[in-house]
Amino acid sequence: MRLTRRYLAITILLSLTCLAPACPKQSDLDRAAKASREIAFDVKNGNKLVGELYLAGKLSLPAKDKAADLLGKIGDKGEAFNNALIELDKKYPSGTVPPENLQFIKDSIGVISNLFKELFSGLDLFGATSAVKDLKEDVEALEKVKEGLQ
Amino acid sequence: MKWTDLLNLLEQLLPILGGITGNPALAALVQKLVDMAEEEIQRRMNENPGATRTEILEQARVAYAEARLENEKLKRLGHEND
Repeated sequence: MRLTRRYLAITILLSLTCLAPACPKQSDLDRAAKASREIAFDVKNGNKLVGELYLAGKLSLPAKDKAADLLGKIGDKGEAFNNALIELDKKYPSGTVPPENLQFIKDSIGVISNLFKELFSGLDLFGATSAVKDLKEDVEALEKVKEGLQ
Repeated sequence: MKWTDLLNLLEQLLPILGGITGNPALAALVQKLVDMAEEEIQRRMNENPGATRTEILEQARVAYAEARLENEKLKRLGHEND
């Protein structure tokens, strides 16, 4: 059963369906803002989910602590990313940003994506191999946002 | 698979999980996951599709602050008697 990992990852996948380049009239900053919002909710829900798994006896205390630390890091990175986007939003109301800022957005999404992968790989609940493969595919959707940015 | 399909599947599994496995704790966990998924679906359905980028970033800012509080709570879990 891969419900927990599927739940945690599916919010990333589904929320990013409108962030692909095919969506019309969305600037890079628009897509980055939506990605940031979804990351925020995923981190919030992820914290709740890990707590429930621990309380249900599905995670040991050390595993819970490790996941909590990772979620804390993802939250910190995400918050910093969002704060930077807020400044860019003020500076570039059209939503089109210079190349160096675009690279920053891509790099930030990449870092956050890797931290999520690390988190998923640590949640070894029902047999990691196939589950991590599924999660990897879902987190790759986040990376498609990065690739879709110009 | 759509969110609603997933929820339907989970809800069908609930009585099976609680019965055959004889593990009501597992069924309770699945129920909580279903509740969380429903809440997430509701949030998405209530999202304003016309929200501006500034509004979206503000929603994110608030969600990050809530995530921080959830993370602090999570870190304390299991260490209440430390």
